[in-house]
Amino acid sequence: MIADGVLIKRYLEGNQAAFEVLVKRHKTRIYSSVLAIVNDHYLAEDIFQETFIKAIHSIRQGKYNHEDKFLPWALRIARNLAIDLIRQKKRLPMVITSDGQDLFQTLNIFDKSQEEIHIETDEISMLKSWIHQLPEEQKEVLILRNYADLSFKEIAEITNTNINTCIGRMHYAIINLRKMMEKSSVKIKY
Amino acid sequence: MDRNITETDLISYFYNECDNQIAAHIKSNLTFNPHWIDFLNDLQKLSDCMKAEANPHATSVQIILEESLYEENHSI
Repeated sequence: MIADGVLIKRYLEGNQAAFEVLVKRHKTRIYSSVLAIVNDHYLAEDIFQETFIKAIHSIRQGKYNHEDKFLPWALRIARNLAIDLIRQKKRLPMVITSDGQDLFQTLNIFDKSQEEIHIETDEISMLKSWIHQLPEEQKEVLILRNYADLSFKEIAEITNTNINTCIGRMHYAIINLRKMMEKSSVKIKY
Repeated sequence: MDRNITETDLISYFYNECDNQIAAHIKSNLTFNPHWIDFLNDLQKLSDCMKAEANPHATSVQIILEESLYEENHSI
């Protein structure tokens, strides 16, 4: 397998196919991670595109100096874009409907589309819904470690923390998930 | 081992990021510690449900590849 750094060097030398290899190599991990963070396919597509477009501009401006660490670098871009979008979403005024619900939530503009709504009864869906209820920093470590397959060291660099903090957050995430499981009538089988 | 194994050690062990000495200790004492097995099972279950399987739409990939071409032409 050709290393990421070599592919980027070749792309800068004019080899377009090298960049295509890079996109195809990392698209699933990046898209899965972004989707897990924002929980919305449309937003995830936008962030995915924007991430690579920013990456292209940086590479072509000679700003890429991460050797073979393209994935953590791209995920840092994606994470920042996702955080910005989540902040924008939180700043939007809340419109309350007559039955006391947030209008945007009712319309499902930012969360799941109508087609995606289904009753989450199976075990995996239940676990995924619990993951989304975790504090952001705990959810982030779970996503970057499992979906993106980054090491705790790489996660620490992306999140500006240290390895122990990342592992600690993972630990709290598991404690919280266990609590949610105990409260629920659903038991996850091994 | 001069200290007890913690759940954070088990997390590092599960993801193969553990110190060799600790990893060897966990491996050789796993069968005597059902709590460790339960905890590692929880991690496995979590890992199984968080597999990277979602792919972006082909259009998104196409847009990115066109952008990379445009930049190339644009710079010339």
